[in-house]
Amino acid sequence: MTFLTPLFLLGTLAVAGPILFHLVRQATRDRVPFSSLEFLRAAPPRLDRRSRVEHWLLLLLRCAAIVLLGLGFARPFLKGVTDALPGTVEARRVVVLLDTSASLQRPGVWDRALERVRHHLRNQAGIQDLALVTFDRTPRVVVPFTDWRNAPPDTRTALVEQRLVGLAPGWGDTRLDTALQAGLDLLGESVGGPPPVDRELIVVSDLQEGSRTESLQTTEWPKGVRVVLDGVQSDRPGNAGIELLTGDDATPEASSNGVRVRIVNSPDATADRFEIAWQSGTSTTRVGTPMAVQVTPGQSRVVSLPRPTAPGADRIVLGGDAAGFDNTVFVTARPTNAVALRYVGVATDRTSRAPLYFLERALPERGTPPVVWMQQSADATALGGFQTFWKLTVVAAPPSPAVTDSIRSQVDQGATALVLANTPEAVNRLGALLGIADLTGTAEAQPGGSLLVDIDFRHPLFAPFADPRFSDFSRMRIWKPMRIDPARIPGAKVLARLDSGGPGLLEVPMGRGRVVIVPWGWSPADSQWVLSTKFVPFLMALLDASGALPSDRASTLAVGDPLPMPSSAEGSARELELPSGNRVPAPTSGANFTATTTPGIHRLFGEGPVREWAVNVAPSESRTAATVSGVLDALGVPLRERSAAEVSQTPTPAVQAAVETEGRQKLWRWFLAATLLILVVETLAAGWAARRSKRTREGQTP
Amino acid sequence: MTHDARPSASRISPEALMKIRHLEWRARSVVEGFWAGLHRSPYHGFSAEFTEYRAYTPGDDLRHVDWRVFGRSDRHVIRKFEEETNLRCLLLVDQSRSMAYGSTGHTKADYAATLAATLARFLHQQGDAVGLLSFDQRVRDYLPPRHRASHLRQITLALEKPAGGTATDLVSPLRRVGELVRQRGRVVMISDFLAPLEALDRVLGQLVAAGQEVTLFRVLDPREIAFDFKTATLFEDVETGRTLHIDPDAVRQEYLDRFRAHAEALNGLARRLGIACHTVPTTQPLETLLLDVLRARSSGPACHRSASAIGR
Repeated sequence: MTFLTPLFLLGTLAVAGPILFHLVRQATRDRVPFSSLEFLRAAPPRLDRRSRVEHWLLLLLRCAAIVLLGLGFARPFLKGVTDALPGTVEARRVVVLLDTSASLQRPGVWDRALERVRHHLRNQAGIQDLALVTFDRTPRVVVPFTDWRNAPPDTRTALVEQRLVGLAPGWGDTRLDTALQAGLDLLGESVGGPPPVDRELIVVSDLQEGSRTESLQTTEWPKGVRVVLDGVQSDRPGNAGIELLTGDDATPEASSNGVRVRIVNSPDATADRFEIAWQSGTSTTRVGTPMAVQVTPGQSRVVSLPRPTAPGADRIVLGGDAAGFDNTVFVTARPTNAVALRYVGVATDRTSRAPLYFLERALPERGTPPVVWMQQSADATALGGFQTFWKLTVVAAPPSPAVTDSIRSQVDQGATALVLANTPEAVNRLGALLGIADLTGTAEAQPGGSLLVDIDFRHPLFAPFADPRFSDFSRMRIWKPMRIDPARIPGAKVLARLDSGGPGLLEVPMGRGRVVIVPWGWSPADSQWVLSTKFVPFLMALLDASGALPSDRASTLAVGDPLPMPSSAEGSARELELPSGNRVPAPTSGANFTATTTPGIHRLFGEGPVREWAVNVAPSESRTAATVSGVLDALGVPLRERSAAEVSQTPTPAVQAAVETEGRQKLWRWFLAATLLILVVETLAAGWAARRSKRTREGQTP
Repeated sequence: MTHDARPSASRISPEALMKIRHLEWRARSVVEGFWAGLHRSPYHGFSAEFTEYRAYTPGDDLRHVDWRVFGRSDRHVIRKFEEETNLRCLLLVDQSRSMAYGSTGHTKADYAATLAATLARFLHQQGDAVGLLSFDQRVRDYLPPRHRASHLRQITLALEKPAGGTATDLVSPLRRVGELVRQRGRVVMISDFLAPLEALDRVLGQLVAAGQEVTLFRVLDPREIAFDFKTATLFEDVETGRTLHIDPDAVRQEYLDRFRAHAEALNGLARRLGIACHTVPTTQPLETLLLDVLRARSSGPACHRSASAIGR
């Protein structure tokens, strides 16, 4: 018989206790009172060995209980019996989840993580299936169960080692919930039979505070599954990170003068003095004067860094922090997501009678979305700077032939034109736009004005008003509408009618785009339209229908976030420049570019100006304190965290084998049972002895 | 000594008697049982007794002149009588802690108190004056002999006090009695006499010489007499707290010898001084004890004075 923890055998020395007590007890026990000791002399009982020990049976039982308990704690096992009991091996299924998020780039962390994976590989006794999954934002199966099963048992470790060689921590954020879900799904898979009952998820990670765990709230954990958290820590505690503040976080003043960044210092940090500076992509030298920032550990601070005057600076670098993975934020030159729209009208008319006046107030430059109205003179003979593709053109005055051609060609390519045909000349020019000769309209003024009736609320332009609460157009009067015969316009669709009989709003498809005809004016003298509550929702619907609204509202992106590709004209070749400098073909309009694997500036080259996106390391990665285990515990994850002692000591294979053998035989249970049995017998015997001695004493004591 | 004499009176065993909680009722039940058991008291009492005539001398009280003798013989004679007083009895009760020992369900102190109360009641019923002096290593309570019903109650209360003290001094209470009691009477001492006897001889002799009739009751537990312990244990002196490891088998004979020598010494002392000494195991019924005492009085040991006794 061999013992796993022989030091516990020292505990059997405690048998000296009962022996001593049995010897000593007699001398110090009961006292018999007597009236006077005058006639007595001291006559201590004789001390020969036989007479001293009183209850031999009790002594033997007590000694046996202590010895058996000591033997049981020493974890005995029989060496020879190991092979004779192959059936007792409990099959285990293990999924090792290896964290490859950006925070693993801290010094020493990745090497430790790999060492922990190798440790778990060595301890593979009883493992039936093993899978290795790396995760940051998304989990990736590196070694599936099938590879593990198909490999001969002696080459399995080498197989995993080989796959580990190519791995390195990336730039993604830690989504622990997704990874655990994926691991759980893997554990439940059937690989040539039902999954074993004993299943284990081993998470080798830095267990950082910034890990995402939200979706674990609804996770059901099946029986037999346990999660082992194997935390690895950095050589140097503490981490500071920098985060770009934009949009709602930054005030307009700050964003116009500089860039606001938040500097976060972790609670276990030792450093509290940092400096931030601009840096350009081409050189590692700093641009401009660095700014010193003091951040107490556990706190964060927001500072505004002025933009440098010199061009080329596209990132802010945080100095003074050892862990460099989150010390750089990339900043695009300017937010480029304002929507540019064309307004064709009378160049000189910017009064409150012109539609532009109302358009600029309904969709302002600083609104959401920010809209820039580019005004083109209606009588322009050359396009000049207006050769861009305009998704929406509002024609408020009869355009010149050059402008008409420009509009027609763009509508053919998919643009939308809204034409106010409120004068006979405007109707005539509309005919030229639509290619209809002699299109005429007659003014039909009705006393009291006309109303829009028979509105097609199913059409996208009127869909926002479909709800009965908003569908009341009866208070909006139109005084000077033009009557255009819809039959003369091929493909024209009447979206609304006037109660005077003529069409109220027409949509004419043309090429890949369309022309929306409004046969009445937008100035307050012509209609109440621009002053009604319907105006702004209608414009938004128009923007939406024309595809002019940007789909990328977020101006800061994290690694792994998709880049929304703006829509483009058919057949235009676009290329996306990655931070590495490589150019890849950009996805087609409407699709997203998802392979944002490294932080940096992504540029889209194609028609129009170059678009830029800054992709940064997720701010959550900067929160590196290893506190997520408490959160997981609170979320009901069946945890079995490795103790620090367990992490530090790596047992030898011989010890491993002994542990396995002992774990299978579990002889300690028998020793414990025997101890309990003996204790029961001892209790009975002691009770009997106590009753007997009580009777004896009663005969002696008064 | 005297407990071999068995009266025909119905007896209450001490075990049953000690179950009565109040000492007064205990004493009352013993005394009444005793009277009920007696068909006829051998000590019916004395009347005032004429002793002699003497010739009248001027100055004598004329009330004592026997006028009949004057009528017959024309002589003036004075009738002279035996001086008549009630018996004055002082009970000396040992209340030291050694009396708190008892192996039979009641202690020697219980037994001694009951004995004293019984005697007090018995004497009180006969019109005698009874007093009490309790002691351990010093005098605890002293109630001078009186014949009053409330006095009997005070005696009972004093007897009910628990035993105390860390030693027994037999001499100083006796010496104190010699100082306090000038009139002749009876002194009954109840103790276990487990104390040195050296000075006792002289003090008792002085008392007897002063005309006191002394009776000793030596109350002992049966275990003290027989020492029938079986197993070796630690013995603790209830009075001093001293402990001794003792194997009873080894020391029994020696103990019995020394105990007997002590008893012999006490008896020898009593015989020499002509006083009665009764050894009383706590298992002996009290009625028989009373009877023994009365019988012993009638046949009694050599007493210094035979005129007064427990009963008249």
